[in-house]
Amino acid sequence: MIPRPARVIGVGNLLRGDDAVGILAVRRLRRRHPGRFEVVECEGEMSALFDAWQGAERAVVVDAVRAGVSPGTLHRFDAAATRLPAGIFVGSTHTFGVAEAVELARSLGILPPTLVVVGIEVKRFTLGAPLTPGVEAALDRLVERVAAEAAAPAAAVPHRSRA
Amino acid sequence: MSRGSSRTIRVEVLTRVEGEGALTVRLKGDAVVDVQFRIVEPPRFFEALLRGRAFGEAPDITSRICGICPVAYQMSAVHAVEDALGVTVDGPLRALRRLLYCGEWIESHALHVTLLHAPDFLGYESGIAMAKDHPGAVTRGLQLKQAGNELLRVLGGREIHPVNVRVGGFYRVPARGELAAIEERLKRALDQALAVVRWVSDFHFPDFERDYEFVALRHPTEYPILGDRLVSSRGLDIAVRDYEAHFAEEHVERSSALHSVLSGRGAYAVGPLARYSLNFDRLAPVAQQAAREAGLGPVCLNPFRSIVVRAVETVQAVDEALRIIAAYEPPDAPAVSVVPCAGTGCGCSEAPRGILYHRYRLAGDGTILEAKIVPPTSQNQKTIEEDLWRFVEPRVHLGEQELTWQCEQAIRNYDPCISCATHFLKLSVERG
Repeated sequence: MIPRPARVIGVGNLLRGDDAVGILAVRRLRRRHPGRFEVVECEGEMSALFDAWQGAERAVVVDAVRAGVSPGTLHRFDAAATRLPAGIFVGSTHTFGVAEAVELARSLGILPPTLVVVGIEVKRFTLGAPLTPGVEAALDRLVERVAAEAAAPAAAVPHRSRA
Repeated sequence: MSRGSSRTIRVEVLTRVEGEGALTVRLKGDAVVDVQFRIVEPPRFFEALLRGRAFGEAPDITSRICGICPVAYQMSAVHAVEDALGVTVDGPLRALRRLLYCGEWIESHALHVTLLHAPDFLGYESGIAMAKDHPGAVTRGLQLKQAGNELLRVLGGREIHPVNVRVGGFYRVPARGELAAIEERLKRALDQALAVVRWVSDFHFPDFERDYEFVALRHPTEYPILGDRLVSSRGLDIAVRDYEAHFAEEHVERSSALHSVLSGRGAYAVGPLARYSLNFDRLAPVAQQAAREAGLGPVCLNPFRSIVVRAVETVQAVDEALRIIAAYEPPDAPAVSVVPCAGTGCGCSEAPRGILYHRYRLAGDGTILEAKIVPPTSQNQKTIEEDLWRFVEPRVHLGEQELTWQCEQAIRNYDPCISCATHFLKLSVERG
C-alpha cells in the first residue's frame, strides 16, 4: 500500500511580522514540492489545528518560536513523544497556541501517531511588517528541514526531543 | 499585613495574543489605592490600513483583526458601509448573516465557557489540566465549538476568517441541502448546549454584584445580534448612527489607553450580561427555560455568572440556527447590487463579547477616507477596572497568589481578547 503523504501544517498570522513565517514556509514548500505533501495553512486556533491533523498518520507543524536565542534558529520537537515547552510558541491568534493545542489533544487522546513540530526563532511581531532579515534568511533552511521531517519514515524518527 | 504597608500586584500579560494587556493593583494596608487594567488592541492599526482602500475590502480587512470573532468584524463593517451607501439587506440574506453570526457565538462561547472560564471555577490552572479529569466535559465543549465552526465553514467558506461575506450580501449562498446537512449536528449541539448550562449552573459563584449600566442592541423581535438601536439599563435608547454623540473615548491619566464612557455618565458594560439583562424577553422559550432552571432571573448583575449566561446564549444561538435553517429558502441572488457614492455610515453588531461599532466615510468612488472601530473589550475596560476595585478590597487578606488568581478570574468574566493568556501572566509584588 502506498502510504498517504504527510500532512504539513503552517501556523501563523500573515499580518504580524515574523508571525507569518509558518505560513510562508509551507507556501514555499508547496511550490517546491508540488503534490508531495498535504499542505494546510492555519492561524493556530486550537480546534482548527485539531482539524488540520485529524486523520493524519504523520504530521509536521511549522510555527514561530521565541525561546531567546538568535533569530532564524530552528527548533525541533517530537510532540507525539514529549511535552512541548509552554510559552515559546507564538504563532497563534489569541486563542490557545500550538503547545496548548498539542497538550490538550494529548489529554484527550487525539494526537496523530507521529507529530513533529518545527519551530523557528523569530524576533518581532510588528503589525503589517515583513519578516525581519534573520528570519527571512533562514526561510529556505526551514523549508528544507520541514520537507525532510515530512518525508522521513515514521520509524526513523527518534522518540526524544532534539530541541 | 500591617496597616499602612503598601503593595503592588502587577500582572503583565505577554505577547502572542492579538490584544496585549497588563493589570496593576496597588494596595496600601487594606485599602485599594489604584487599579489599572490596560489593553492594547490592533484596531488603530487597522483604521489606518483601511484608509485609501475600496469600500468592498472593509469586511475582509477588518475580519483579520480577531481570530475568534471575524464574523462580528465583517458584519459591523458591511452594515456600516451599507448604511453609507443607502443599501438595506433583508429577507433570506439577512437570515443567512444571522446564521453565520450564530456559528461565531457558538464557537466563541463554547471555547470560553469550557476551556477558558470553567477551569477557574473547578480549580484548575488551565483547560488542559482540567481535560485530564473532565475529558467528557471538554470533549462536549469541543464538539459544540465544532458545530459552530461548521456553520462558519458552510456559510463563510472557511472556519477562521470567513471569506464569503460582501457588502450587499454574500459571494455565494448555500443550497437548501447544504444547510440541511448540518441540521443533525446542530440538533445534537442543542442537547450539548443544554447540558453545558446544567454543568456550569452548579459551579460556586463569588457573592459579587454591581449596579452596571448595561448597553446592548435591541431589536423589535429578535435576541440582539444585528440591529440599529442601542439601549441601556438606565434609559438610553438611540439609533446606532448616534453612537458617537453619546459615547466617548477618554484619555486615562498615566496611561496611553483610551477608556470608552457614556458621556456624562461614565463606565458601562457590554457583552452577554448586558444583552441578556436587556433582552431576556427576546430569548427563545428553550433558552429562557434553561436560564430559569440554572437559577438565573431576567437580570443578572453578578459578572461571575456570565459563564451561565454564555451557556444560555449558546442554547439560544443553536436554537436560532436550527430555526433559520428550517425556514431557509435560497434568495434569488447572493447579494443586492451596490453602487458606490459619497457618504458616512455606521454599523453595530453584537460580537460574542459585546457591541462592536464601525463607522466609515466614503468618497464618491467608494474609497474609504476614514474608518473608526470601537471593539467591545475596550468598551468594557473601565468597567473591568471598577469591578476589580470593588472585588479586591474585601479580599486583600488573601495571599498574593490567590489574590492574583481571583483578579484574573474577575477579568476573564468579560472574555476579553487576552483571556487565553493566563498561563503567560507574570506577577510582581512590590511592598512599600
